[in-house]
Amino acid sequence: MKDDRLAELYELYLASIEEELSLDAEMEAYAGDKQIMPSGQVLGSIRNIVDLGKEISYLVYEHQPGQGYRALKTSCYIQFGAEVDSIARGEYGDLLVELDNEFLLSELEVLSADAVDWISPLSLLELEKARQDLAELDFDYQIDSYKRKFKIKELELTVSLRSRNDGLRHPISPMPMLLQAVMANQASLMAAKNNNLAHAFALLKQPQDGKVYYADGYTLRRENNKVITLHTDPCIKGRLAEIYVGVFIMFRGPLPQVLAMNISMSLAELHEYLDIKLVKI
Amino acid sequence: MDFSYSVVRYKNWLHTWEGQGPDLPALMAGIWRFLKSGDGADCRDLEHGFYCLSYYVAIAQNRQNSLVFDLCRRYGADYHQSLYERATSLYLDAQKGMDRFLQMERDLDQRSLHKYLYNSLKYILKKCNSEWIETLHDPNRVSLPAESIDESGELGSGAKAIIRSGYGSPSIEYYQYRMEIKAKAKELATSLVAEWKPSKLNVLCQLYEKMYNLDTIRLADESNAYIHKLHQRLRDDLTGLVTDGVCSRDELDEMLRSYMPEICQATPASSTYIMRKTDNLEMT
Repeated sequence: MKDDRLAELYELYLASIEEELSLDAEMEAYAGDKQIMPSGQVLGSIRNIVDLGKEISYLVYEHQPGQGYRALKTSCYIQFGAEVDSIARGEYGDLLVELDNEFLLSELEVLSADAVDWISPLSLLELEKARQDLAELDFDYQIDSYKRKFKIKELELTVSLRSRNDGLRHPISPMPMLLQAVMANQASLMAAKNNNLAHAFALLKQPQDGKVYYADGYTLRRENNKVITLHTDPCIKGRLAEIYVGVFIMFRGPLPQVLAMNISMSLAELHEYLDIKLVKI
Repeated sequence: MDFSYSVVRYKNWLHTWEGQGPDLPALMAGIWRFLKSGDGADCRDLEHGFYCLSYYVAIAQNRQNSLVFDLCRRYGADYHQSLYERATSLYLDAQKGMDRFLQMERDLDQRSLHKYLYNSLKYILKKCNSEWIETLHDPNRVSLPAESIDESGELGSGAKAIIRSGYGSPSIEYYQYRMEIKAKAKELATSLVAEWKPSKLNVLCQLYEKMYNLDTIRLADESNAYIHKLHQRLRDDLTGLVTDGVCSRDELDEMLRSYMPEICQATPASSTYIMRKTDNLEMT
């Protein structure tokens, strides 16, 4: 019975993601140009943005003058909350704030969106504390399947927005444990795929210190235990691309010269899982 | 607020409504009148408003509604009853935001208000649909009183029946509790202004004004790192009010939501944490 409930809630969650195209468009057409709210709470407010036809609700977390606002993904499906998430008290009830799902939005994007819920100043301060604690901890994503599915879906939803994050200061994908959990199932598949001579020669070419890995189109460098940087070759820099690690989409957008990723694995291992797909416009 | 809800009449209303062609502005206008209506409202208006809200529940999250329809068939539940329950939850939850909606009515033109209402209700509706699934699996689920469903499909007497039945959403007791919270929050605001040092209140007001994007000189001469430290202390002071039994978390949250403008009005603005004598003149 418990699994039925979670399965149905997960279905309900999936049904809520897609934009209600005809009705939403009708409302947009009726309301005309967006009216920017002249006043009201901005930090600590909950708003929505539509990205690639998907509705994404977020909490406006921090103002960064000249850049916009930092935002955290939120959801009303608190049943799928993991250790890495926080529960905040909104005006209409509790909401899930995903501390590992952060992105940058422009002032226009934020201020032209309707604020649909709010948290109090104290809740905002508590989130700040929870985020600090998050940086010091490794979280266990060995969580039940629906929570994990939910987490992956939520991160997929925001991949374009998170890909806007400014390169090295905010590494993409702060979920090494989740990645490892997802990829554990793929390990044997990849091993079979790479059981050939070309792969063996590719490994021989690499420096032995494990700090650099050269590949076609990119170079991987280890910055520290958690952060690996991907340096794209000039021929693909700026091209619209999707970067997958296994089945997991990590990045969608114009390729920067350097991209930092929070991944705890060897460079050779990451190379095995890495797939850069250039997107045709 | 009392009115009669009938499946038959809702279906007739829907037939007429859909026959006239989709009219989103009229739907939102009907919902807004319903949300604002008090005890003196006409029964027919209330019925029309509730049917508008029920229709909104069915179409605004169309995919979710299809899933609810399937679940009703799977569990032998009545779809119209679910619609009624979810519309009632939506009505009751939306009442929590009425102060803001009324403020928006004053600030915005009608079209923008309708769009704001549309987006806000859509956000709340997701929660109501999720709660409905939770109650579907709740062994202590309180359905609508079966005796109120007669052969003509009468489902009881509107929102009040739901409130009295204790189904999922807030009860009358909840509203009484909210009134008490508001009163205690006001007392708390008064005592904070009297007892907290102006420098500490200045930090609280700086945070509040930052959250509202207001122009402020508060702590303008302090470094970001120091402000961060002051915010940490403020968080500890505020949570200390709850842990020391001065107030409940609900009362504190209500004070922070509702009484900050008054608190900051009474607190001199200072660009530094250590307040100078001249700061007493810089009231915001």
